[in-house]
Amino acid sequence: MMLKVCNLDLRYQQIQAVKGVSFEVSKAEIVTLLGANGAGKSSILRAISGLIRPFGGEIFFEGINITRLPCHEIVKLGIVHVPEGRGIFANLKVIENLEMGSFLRRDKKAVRQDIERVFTLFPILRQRQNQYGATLSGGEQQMLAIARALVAGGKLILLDEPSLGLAPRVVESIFQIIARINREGLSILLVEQNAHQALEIAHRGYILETGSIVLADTASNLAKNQSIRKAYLGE
Amino acid sequence: MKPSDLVLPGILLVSAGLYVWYYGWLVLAQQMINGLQRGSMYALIALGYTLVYGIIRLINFAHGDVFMMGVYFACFAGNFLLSRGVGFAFWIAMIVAMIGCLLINVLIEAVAYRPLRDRPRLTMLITAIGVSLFLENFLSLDPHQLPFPFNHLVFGPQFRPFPTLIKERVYPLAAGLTISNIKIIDLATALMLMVVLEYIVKRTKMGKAMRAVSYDMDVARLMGIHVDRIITFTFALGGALAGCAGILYGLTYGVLQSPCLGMWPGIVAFVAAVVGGIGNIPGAMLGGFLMGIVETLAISVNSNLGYGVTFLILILVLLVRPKGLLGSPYMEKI
Repeated sequence: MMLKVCNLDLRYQQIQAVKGVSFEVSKAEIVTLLGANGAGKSSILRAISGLIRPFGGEIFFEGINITRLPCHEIVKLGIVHVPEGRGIFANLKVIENLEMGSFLRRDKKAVRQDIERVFTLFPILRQRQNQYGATLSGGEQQMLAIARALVAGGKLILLDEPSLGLAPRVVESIFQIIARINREGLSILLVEQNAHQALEIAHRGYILETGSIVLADTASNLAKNQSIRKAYLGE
Repeated sequence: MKPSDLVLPGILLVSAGLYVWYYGWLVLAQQMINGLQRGSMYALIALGYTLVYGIIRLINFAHGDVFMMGVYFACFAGNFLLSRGVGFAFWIAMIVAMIGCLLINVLIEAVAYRPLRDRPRLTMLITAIGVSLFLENFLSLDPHQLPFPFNHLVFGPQFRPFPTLIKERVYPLAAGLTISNIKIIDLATALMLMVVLEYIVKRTKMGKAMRAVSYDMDVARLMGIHVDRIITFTFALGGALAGCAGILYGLTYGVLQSPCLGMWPGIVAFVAAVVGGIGNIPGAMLGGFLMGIVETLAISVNSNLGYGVTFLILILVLLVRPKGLLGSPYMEKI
């Protein structure tokens, strides 16, 4: 088991955001967390990557308890979080954004190879490498955010709403790339409101409602589930 | 370009015109040279304000006092080196002052600001004022009235001469204008450090990480950037620049009035950073030189005028161009 979240409790001040959530992500698996706005999806990702401290519960990554580790230690272990809204540094060039993605890596040669690899994966980024992040379109920013996560050399990527604010055709190609990097061996934890797209590429999924998991199943079963089709697929 | 953008240049031009009409071109030119000298110190201090603001959105009001400690460190180091007859005393004293202020600034951040990082921003601001008042008043205590070990920690309130590390030589320029070796050293040192700073911020990994932290601290964390270390690094840079401004001050004015001597330069440099656009590095340099020139011109009219004019410029900038002359170079994030 790659990532194991046990009984996670998250609170902001007095307000309970997430209670008793447990789930797992295996090696080379795409797992999706689905749920409406405010169900606590982003908070769970922020807790895994160490941005917020859980009120209760534990998080294990490859057997190591990472619940109380600082962010940079968690990144070093191999968890890379692509935040909601993409989190591109608008004041840094595209290539500098990629350098920040590989901040902790000392193996310069491998980093250069990885940057070359993401330039092949996203040719538009090669063209724009000396432009500032602020000048990119939403789709290009999302590509850069994923590229930046890939050059971090992690084992598990947490993706927070990669489809947010993008045109359907761009969403399509982003999801194809997510499926592709997963086939190359990376595990992915995908948080989405776009349930249709997410279930198409995911292996398994969890449904989150007001801070608790109400349903867990394989992606194909979830896609067939009547109540889910009603609630999340707009049928 | 809005009409309000013309207010500030307009006022500056009209004032310069009046100055020329009253005193003539030569005086203006000479005072501009003198102003550049003063401005080089203000610019170095202003950079410390702007760097720290850019990273943690704090106006570090203790920064003028770090500069003051730089003057004292340079004074002690200079006296020691001269008494031993060591060569290159000025440059060694400069390095001592820079390292001393670097350590002091890092210490202030670790002790006073870091524990308050998650509190409302006002808390840190008030703490900064507290640190400033503490340094000024504690270091002004009379060592003869203090028990060990405090008597070795304070500077004392008395006047001190600054050691003559470099003998002043005045060179004539064209048309009766003069320049001195000290003016050249002040300006050249400041410009050189600005080039070094620009290189660090634009080209090195630490500098890029600084800009990343400045833009979005949480995302910087997700990159694996150790944010605390970047903040320490930023305070170190600001401290070193203030230390250098400190030795230039001693060299230029030749006297240490009291441990409160950093108050006024600190305020002018703060105004300079705001005028240039707080958080903006070229802005702080521009603002520093501008404030140096404006203050020198004002003082040449009446020695008490410098204080008022400094704040007048602050008020004008806040009224007509609150983001500062160079504003923010990139778009606000959504």
